[in-house]
Parts: sequence; C-alpha cells; structure tokens
Amino acid sequence: MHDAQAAPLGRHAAPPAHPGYTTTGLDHRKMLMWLFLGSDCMFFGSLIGTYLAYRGRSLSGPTPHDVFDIPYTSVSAFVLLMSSLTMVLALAAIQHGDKRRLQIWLITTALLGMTFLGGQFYEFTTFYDEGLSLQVNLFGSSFFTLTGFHGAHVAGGVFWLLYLTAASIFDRLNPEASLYVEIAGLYWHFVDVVWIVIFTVVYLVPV
Amino acid sequence: MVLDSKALEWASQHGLDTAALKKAKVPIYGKWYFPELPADVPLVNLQTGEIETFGAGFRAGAILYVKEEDLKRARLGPYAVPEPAEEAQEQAAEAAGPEPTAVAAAEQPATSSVATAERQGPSRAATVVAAAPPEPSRESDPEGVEHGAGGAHAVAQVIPHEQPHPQSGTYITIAIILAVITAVEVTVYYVQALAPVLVPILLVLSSVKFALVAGFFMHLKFDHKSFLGFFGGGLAIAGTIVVSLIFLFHGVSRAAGGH
Repeated sequence: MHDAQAAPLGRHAAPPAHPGYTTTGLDHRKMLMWLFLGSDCMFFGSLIGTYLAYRGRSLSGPTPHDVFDIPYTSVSAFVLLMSSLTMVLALAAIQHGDKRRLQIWLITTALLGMTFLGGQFYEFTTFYDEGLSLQVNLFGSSFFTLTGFHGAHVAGGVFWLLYLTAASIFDRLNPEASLYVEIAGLYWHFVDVVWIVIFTVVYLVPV
Repeated sequence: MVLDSKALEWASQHGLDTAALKKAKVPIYGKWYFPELPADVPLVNLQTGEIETFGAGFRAGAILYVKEEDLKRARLGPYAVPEPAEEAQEQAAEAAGPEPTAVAAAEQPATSSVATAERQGPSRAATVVAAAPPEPSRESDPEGVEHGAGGAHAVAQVIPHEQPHPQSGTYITIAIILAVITAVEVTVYYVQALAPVLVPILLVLSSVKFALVAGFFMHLKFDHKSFLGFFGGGLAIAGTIVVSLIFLFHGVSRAAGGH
C-alpha cells in the first residue's frame, strides 16, 4: 500500500466516531439492521412455534374454523405484499434522486400499512364479538399474541415511514441518505415476509 | 465498473465535473460496489488527489479511485485544462505577489481539494493537496464517506463485493409473481381434490414468496453474503425452534396417548 497511508493510520489508533466508518467493508448500520432482523426471526419463530404447538388443543371454542374469513385475510395479505413493492420503489426513487416519487411511494407504503392495520383491527373486533379473546382458550392466546406482535411491528414501520416522509418534505433526507430508506425498507420487507409465513401457517394450513 | 448516478452525485458534491466524467465514461472504483482495484496501475485518489498504486487483491471502499491514465485521457481532475480566463487570473496573481495558493486551499475543507486541484492543473495539485487539512468537517458528509487520515481504511482486502440493485421493472415483475402466487394459495385452499397435498403445496408456495421478497426486495441476492448469513442464521434458529416445539408437544401428546 502507498506509504502515505501508513502515517495517518498510526496517528489514529482508535477508530473515528464516524457514521460511515467500517472495519469490515460493510456498513455497520445496515449490518446492525440485518442482525436485528435475524434476532426478530427467532422472536417470531418462537411465537409461531407456540401457536403450532397449541394448535388443536383448545378445550373450548371458538376454533380457527369458526372465526377465520380467508377471502378477507387474503386481501389484507395482498395489501401488505403490495406495500413491499411501493417500499422498494421508494428506495429506487431516492437512489435516482427523485424526491417527489420518493415521497409518493413512502406515503403510499404507509397508507397500505395503515390499511392492513385497519383490517387487522376489524378482524380482531369481529373475532372478539364471536367470543374469541386472549383468555378464552389456547387458540385465542396464541393467535392474538402472534398477530398482535406482528401488528405492532407494522405500526412501528408505519411511524418510521411517516418520519422518513416528513424528513424528505422538510429537506432533511438528501439522496446521500438513501441508506436510511434502505434500512427502513429492510424492516418493512421483513414485516411482510413474516406475514407471508403467518398467513400460510396460521390461516391456510388446516388444523 | 459503471459510472452510476450515485458515483456521479458523490463526485458532484466533491467538486468534480460530473458532466465531463459522464461524457468521458471514466470508470470509477469504490464507494458503492467495492470493486477490485487494478493491480500495479497508478490510481488517483479523488479525495486527496494523491496518486497511489496497489498490488493484486485490493478492493476499493469508501474512497473513489480513478486510473490516472483515464483522467489524463479525459483531461479531468488534476489534468484538467485550465480555462483561458483562469489562466490569466493565475498569471495576474503570480505577478501581483507571492501569495501562496496553498494557504488559501488550507482554509477550505479537504473535500474541496480535488476541485481546487482541477482548476489548477497537475503541477499545482500536489501543493494544494499537501496543504489541505487532513480531517474535514464531518457534519458536511452525513453519509459517512471517510476522509483524510481515517480514509486509509477505505481500501482493504476484506471489503466485499456487492452487485447493483435491480431496476423498478424487475420489482414490478416480482410483485406480479407474488400476487399470482398468493392467488394460487387461496385457490388451492378451496380445491377439495388437493386436500391431501394442501400443506406441502402451501409450504412450497409460501417459501417461494419468502425467497422472492428476501432475495429481490431486501436485496439479499445482490448484497454481500454476510447479510444472508446474519438473516439466514436467525431464520435457521427460528425454524429449529418451530420444529422442536411441534415435535416436543405433539410427540409428547402421542406418547401420552393423545392427551
């Protein structure tokens, strides 16, 4: 390596406190998000495993067959799936320096997320009216815990998207900060893939 | 290595003539895709203006490098041809007295040193770069481009390879495939003839959807494999937890006579 680089390295024994500093060649912020997503996989794995373990063991109703409305939930799943598309289009927009499209796609993604949450709220209230609650049986406990935590993740993602949108509107999000949109996108897509699993395992796979 | 919009944007923010760079189609090494640097070829550090040469196996990182011969060919950076008016100004300044250009440059952040070098040609570039402060203001670069002394970390043998992300058309195609798979999932749920094989079909379709979102939307297919390792590791543990719980509970249930 060039001699000119040796001296500065010697003067800086400690890594600089710089947001883009990397000792691995990977951006540490992005790496941190991936590590978080890996740990969140385990979290949801535990919840899904618990749901499957308790599956068909409820001593009283209602059962999944009594309450699930597959066509309705399919639409919700489709909405969340399409929000992943709008999220990735938002990332493509900021990477091309297109601020207007970035804001449009971020807002669209947040709206789709809110639509999903609204659908989940309606589903929960309907189930509750039909007698399913957190305490009534094992199905209710494991179902509400699993889908409730997923909904909380979606809600967090919606707030994050709205924050990014506001930051873009007030010129606090320049194209150089596309990494922040990418990291938010990773979180949002993760929420989507978790729902892909929940939709199949919880709703479609018969008891 | 392509000269993409990000590299152009970065270069623009650091005072490089991006239009000329684009027109000349000068390959840039570093910052976004961590390409391997050409071995034993003089490279210009676009941040400091220094000419550096690396052996085989080095990859560019946060600092952009361009082959010296490419810059010479394109007449960019330190090899820019001075404008006649600027040349006249320089001559006038020299005639007016010994006011050193280096002093003026030293008052500017290092990020402007390349731009200053551009305007002054090769003979002045070395002086300006040497006089520029080694550590620029960090607030001016929220993205985290490494500068000055810390910039030595920008080139290392461990810096990985990343491929460019796909275009919007690819994303829309993937979304259509995902929508179709979801429709197929719901359809097979209602087909009684498929009831015996419903679970395997649903699991396969769900896995395909999962892989498409993770691979294309989350860019795992294109980003460094370490990210796949972080996510895949967590996923593998999650899968183990699910399978273990199912076997633990349902296995115990069978052993106890179904209770």
